Amino acid sequence: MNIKLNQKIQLECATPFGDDQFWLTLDEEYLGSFSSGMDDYEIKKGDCSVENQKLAIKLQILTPIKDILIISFDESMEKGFISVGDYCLMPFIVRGLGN
Amino acid sequence: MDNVSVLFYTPSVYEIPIRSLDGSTNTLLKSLEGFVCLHVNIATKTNYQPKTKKVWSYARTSKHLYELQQVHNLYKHKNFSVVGYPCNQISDMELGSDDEILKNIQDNYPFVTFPISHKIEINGQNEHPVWTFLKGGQIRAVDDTPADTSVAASNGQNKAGGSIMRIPNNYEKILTTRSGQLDVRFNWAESPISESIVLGYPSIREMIERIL
Repeated sequence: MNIKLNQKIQLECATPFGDDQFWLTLDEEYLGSFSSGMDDYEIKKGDCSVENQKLAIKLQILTPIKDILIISFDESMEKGFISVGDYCLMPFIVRGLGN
Repeated sequence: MDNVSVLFYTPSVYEIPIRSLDGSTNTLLKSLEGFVCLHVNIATKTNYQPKTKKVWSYARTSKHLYELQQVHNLYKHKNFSVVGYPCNQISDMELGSDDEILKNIQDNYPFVTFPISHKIEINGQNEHPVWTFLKGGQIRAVDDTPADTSVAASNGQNKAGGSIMRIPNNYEKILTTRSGQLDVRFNWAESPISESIVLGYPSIREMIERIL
């Protein structure tokens, strides 16, 4: 896997209202955290899956959508899509280290 | 006999002309005559800048519209339709023109196919007659108390000529029967696809199925 482990990386996500940011940290066992800047989510065992070298992280979002959020990377690990529920799909790019 | 007919005449929502969002018809509801309809004041956030996380703001609106489309798809074969009415009166969340709203829906909510009217007002002196009807039709005869300090009051929504009833939120849902009569109203938080009974009340789907 190409992703920088044990470091906070920034995902810049495109929405119809303009770009938005998330922050992601993963360790060697795919455990870590995901932050929207407003809400923080723990990435627990079983939340991550890797298929054909593509990493996907599935999280139950408690607020404010109360839905499933999926962060899907492509093979390059430099971009992908964030989807919320079945109805919302937004592209993101990895911006490197966050704060 | 004619007089008797007049006495028992009940207006129908389908008789009230309203233009479609794309301008293709001025009698959008007439084409739905005989349908059970779920009327919803929508806000697609055209030209809107979210005050919260942009992703969540977009996802919330997508979810509202997606669930409306789902219930539309679920029952459309039984002559049921959702009808959306863009309105900017609630929190300034529909700032665009009709053309901009149409483009925003096509670009960002492409799953939406249920009928949508042109942008209207739903409260106050300039409210569209469709919503006067949907709110029960009682018109305020005099300006309301100047002591009302609500935003709606400051926007002139309590003045004489407007409906007594007021729609307080986006995505209020009002069901009408096949004959165009009012049936039941749900607030914004009620999911149109929920099967569960909330606090002992029937769900939107149960109420739709009851009159289909």
